[in-house]
Amino acid sequence: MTKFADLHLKPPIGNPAAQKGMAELAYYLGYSLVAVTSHPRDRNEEVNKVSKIFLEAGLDVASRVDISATSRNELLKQLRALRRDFEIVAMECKSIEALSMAQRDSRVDVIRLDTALSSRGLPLNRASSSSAHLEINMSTLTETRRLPEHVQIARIGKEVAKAKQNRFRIIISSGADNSMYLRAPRDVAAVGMLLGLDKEEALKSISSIPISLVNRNRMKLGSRGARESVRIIGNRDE
Amino acid sequence: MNRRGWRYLLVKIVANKVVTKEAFSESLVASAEHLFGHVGLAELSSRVVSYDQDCSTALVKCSREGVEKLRASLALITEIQNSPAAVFVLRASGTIRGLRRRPWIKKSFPQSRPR
Repeated sequence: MTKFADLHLKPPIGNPAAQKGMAELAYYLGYSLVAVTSHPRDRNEEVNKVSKIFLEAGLDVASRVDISATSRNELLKQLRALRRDFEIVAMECKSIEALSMAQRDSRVDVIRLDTALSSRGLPLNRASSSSAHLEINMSTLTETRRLPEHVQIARIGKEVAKAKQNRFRIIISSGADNSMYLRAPRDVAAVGMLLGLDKEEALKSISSIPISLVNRNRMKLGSRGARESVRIIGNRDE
Repeated sequence: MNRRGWRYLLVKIVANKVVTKEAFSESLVASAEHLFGHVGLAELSSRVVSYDQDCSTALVKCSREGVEKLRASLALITEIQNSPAAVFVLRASGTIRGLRRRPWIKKSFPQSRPR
């Protein structure tokens, strides 16, 4: 059976009832892995409480942080501070300089597409060493109505085509901060097809691609990953 | 000539107020028309076959080729009669009987209502 993942949930901090509602609905809709997003300024206890609620609902929970940077230095500073504490580091593109850095830095897991949608498009050019995935949020289409729907779809479709050319892996997430914006995984894939992905790519973007991203990062952050790559050559006392 | 193939979708509607069959049907048509135009809507040939107002579930029929388009149209419904709403496809099948006899139809929907 296919396992589905939603790597961008933003449950409201300090509202356990809404968090529980979201967790139960996500489980009911068939998700097995969700990423709970926090902001660097959120307190650890609050984030842990949210994760616990999602775990109790029967979901596997990954921790995610959303960072935004306007310059190269700002991005590097935030990556140094946060990379080890979160399983997923997502970046909001606020400048071309930061975006081009994010595309080259293997510590950036996800580049969010929605915030940078402009008529000129993004200068996407993935470096071979990069592990960055491009993320499309359903909330761009369902929540924000800055632009007419057909313009949004056309712009996202253009970026998706460019991303496919540059061999980016594409992830589709809900970006939901409320149960009303959650959608069933196969419905999300159908919207992905509307944006230019074929059926197989659309299904992978909500299942195998996000799941393998989380597994790979867990390996890297976990002790097992470190043990495999570290060799003890002697003790200091000897 | 081959018979036209149909697919049936079991759909759950979540809204802050009671949604009637007509209101849901109108939203579905509006969403599909908005996304695919009149021609796309004709290709979909969608129709609400039955509607259970107490459980807020509907059985929607569409052409086999139009399933993904119908799913996308349903996923992008955010309002029904000017009230926030969400629509989820619970299951899809080639026959109505196939949808009705499955055990998961009895699986209860989370009680904590979205706000």
